[in-house]
Amino acid sequence: MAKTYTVKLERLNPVTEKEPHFDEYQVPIEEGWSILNILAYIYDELDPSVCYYGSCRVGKCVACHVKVNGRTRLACTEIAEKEDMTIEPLPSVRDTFIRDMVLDWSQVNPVGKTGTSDDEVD
Amino acid sequence: MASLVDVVDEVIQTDVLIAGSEGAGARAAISAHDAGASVTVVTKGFVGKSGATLTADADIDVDSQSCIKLFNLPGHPDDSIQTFFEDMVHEGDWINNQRLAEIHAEEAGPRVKDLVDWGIRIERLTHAPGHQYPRGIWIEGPEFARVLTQEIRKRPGIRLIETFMLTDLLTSAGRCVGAIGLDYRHGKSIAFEAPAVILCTGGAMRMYRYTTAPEELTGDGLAAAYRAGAELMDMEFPMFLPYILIKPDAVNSIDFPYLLSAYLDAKALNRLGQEYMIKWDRMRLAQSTRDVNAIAQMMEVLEGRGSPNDGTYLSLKHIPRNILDRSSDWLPKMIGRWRYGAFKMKDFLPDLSQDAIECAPACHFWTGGVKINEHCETNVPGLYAAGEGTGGIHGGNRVSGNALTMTQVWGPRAGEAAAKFVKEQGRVEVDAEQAGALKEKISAPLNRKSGTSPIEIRKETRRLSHLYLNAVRDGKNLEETLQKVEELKEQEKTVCTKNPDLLQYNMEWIEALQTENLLTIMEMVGKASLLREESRGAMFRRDFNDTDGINWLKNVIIYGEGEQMNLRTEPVVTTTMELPRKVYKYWDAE
Repeated sequence: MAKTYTVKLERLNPVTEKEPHFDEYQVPIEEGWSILNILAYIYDELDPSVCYYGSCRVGKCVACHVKVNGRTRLACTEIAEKEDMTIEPLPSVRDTFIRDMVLDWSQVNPVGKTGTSDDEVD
Repeated sequence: MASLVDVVDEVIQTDVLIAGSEGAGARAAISAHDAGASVTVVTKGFVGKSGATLTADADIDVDSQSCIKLFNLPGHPDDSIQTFFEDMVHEGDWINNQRLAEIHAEEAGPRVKDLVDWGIRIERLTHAPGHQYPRGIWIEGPEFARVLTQEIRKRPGIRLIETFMLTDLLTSAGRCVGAIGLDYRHGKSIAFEAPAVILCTGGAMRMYRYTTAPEELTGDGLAAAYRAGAELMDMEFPMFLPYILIKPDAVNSIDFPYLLSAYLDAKALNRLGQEYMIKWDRMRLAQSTRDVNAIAQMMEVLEGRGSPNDGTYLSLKHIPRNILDRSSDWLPKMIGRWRYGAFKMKDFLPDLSQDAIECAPACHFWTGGVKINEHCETNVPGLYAAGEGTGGIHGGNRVSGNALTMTQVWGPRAGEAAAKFVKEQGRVEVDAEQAGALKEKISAPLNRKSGTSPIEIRKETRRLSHLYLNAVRDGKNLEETLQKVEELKEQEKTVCTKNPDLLQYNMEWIEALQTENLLTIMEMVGKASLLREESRGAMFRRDFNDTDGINWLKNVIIYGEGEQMNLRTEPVVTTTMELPRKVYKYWDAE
C-alpha cells in the first residue's frame, strides 16, 4: 500500500451553501506529481463531486491557479511535495467564483497576462 | 404541443451560432459579425484559456515569397503559393482535396496579414521539415489567444457563452436549424435557434492515453455533426508525435524529448536496450521523420518490447556530460536552458548521463473530420465547419505549421458563408419535440440511479486507443477493438454520475456526455482504418505495408443511417497535381 498524505480541499458551492468547508482526502502522492495531478486523482478515484479547471496542463492557459498551503501556485506546473497540504481557490469576489477551485477565468487573470511566466505569482 | 421554451431552460436566437472560440471559432465569429450577422459563440472552456490554438507555441505557414512581401521576413524568393500547395499534397500523401489545398495556400498570407494588422507579435521565421522553403511564421500560442480575444471583445455584437458543451445539433427537414447543449457552470440546458451553425470544435485527441491536446478536445463537434447527418472523411488519419514524456505524471504528454531528439543525437531503445530504428531508417535512426518514429515505437510496443507504460526509451547517455550540459546554450528558446514553458525540465527528467527517458507516441492532431466544400458547407444545409476537425485540406498527414494556418484561412470563409446563407435563407422553426428528446439525453446521466462511471469508460477507451488505434494498426486488432467499442457503447447507455443533485460545474456530468462522442469517434477511426487496406500518411497497417496508388487514391467517407455507421470511398479531388498511380513500400514514400 503506497503511503498516503492528507490533502485538505476547500469546498464551496455558492448556489447551495453559504460557507465553505474543508474535505480531507488521503492521496498517494507520487514523485513528480503536480498539484493538478493531485486534484485529478481526487476527482478520478475518491470524489467526482470535486471540480477544478485545467485545460492546457503546460502553464499556458493559467486558469488552474490555486492556493497551496496559502501560496498562489499554478496547479499544473507546481511540483507537489510529499507532505500533507491544504489547497484552496484563489480569493475572489462572489460573482467571479464558480465552485471549489474554479473561478470565472474570463473575469480573473491572476498574473495580469496570459503567458508562461517563470515568475512567482505571489 | 410543447413549445421550445417549455422543454429547455433557456432559448437563445441568433443568426450564426459558432461552437469553439479560439483559432477558427474566433475568426469565424469576427467574419460573420462583420458581414452583418448576429453571432453567438459557445465555448467549452474559457475564451483565450482553452482549446488547441493556445497550446501551439508554433509556426503558422505562409509561402516564403509572401513572407518577404507581406511581413518583411527573411523568406526565400523562389518559393510560391503553388510550391506550398505542392508540399501540402506531397506530405498529405496525395489524398488531399487539391481544390481546398490550393485555396489554403493562396489565402494563408492575407489571413495572417489580418493578424498583424490587429497587432500580433511575430517572433521569427522557421524552416520545418516537409517544407522546401522556410514558411513557419513563429507566433506564440498565448499571443494568438490575446489578439483573437481582443478582436472578439471589440465587437459587442458577438455574444459569448463560456463553459458550454454543445451536445447535439437541431435539424428540421434535413437542414440544421440550431443546437442544444449544457451550460455546465449553471447546470442549465440552452437551445439555440440559429439558421446557421459553424463547428470549430477541433479534434478528438483526448480519446488517446497520451495526447498533446488540451482537455476539451473530445470530438464533440465531430460526433454531433455525424448524428445530424453530416458526412466525415479521412478519419483514419489522426497524427502522432513520437517521444512524448510519460512520467512523471506532472509532465505526462509533453513533447520535450521529441524536441530534444530533433537537435541532439538521441538513441531510441526498446526494453531490451536495442536500437530499433536500425530496422526503419538506418541512416537517420531517431532523427527520421516523426511518422516513422511513431510507427517504430508502436511496433516495439505491439511486439512486446515496449516499456512498462506502453512506450519505448530515448537515451542521451552516450553523449559526454560536458557536451550535454553545453547544449542548453544553443538549443532553441523553446527548450533552451532545459526549460519547457513554465517547467524546469531537470526537476522531472532522470539524470540523462545515466538513464533513458521513457516516452510514447502521443496523438497530436486530427487530420480528418467533417467533409466540407470551399465555402465550409457540409452536406447538411445550414451546417458549416472550419479548422481542425474538417477533412480534405491536409489529406493523410499535415505539414508542420499548417494547423494554425488552417484556423485562419477557413474560420473567416465559414463566417462569411454562414452570414450570407442566413441573409438568403432566413429562419426555420425548431422542432420542440426533437429538442425535448435531446434535452432528456443531457439530463439522463444525472437521472439514472445506477450504471457505469464515465471515468471508468474513459480509462478503457484511452487504453484501447493507445494500443490499437495508434500509428500502427492491423485487421485483427481493429476488429477486436471495434467489438470492444460495441461493448462500451452498451455500457454508455447506462452511464451515470455519482452526484445527481450537483448541477453546478459537475465534471463527471460533462464526462458522461463526452462518452458517447469518444466512442463514436473510436468506431470511425477503427472502421475507416479497417477499410483502408494499405499504409499511407499517418497510418501504418502492419498487415498491409504498401502504399497502394492503384486502389487507394481515395478518401473514406463516413455517414450514418439510423443507428448504422456506413462507409464509402470517393476518388480524390485533383486540380493540377497528378497522382502516383503505383504501388510502393510505405517507407519509400519520401
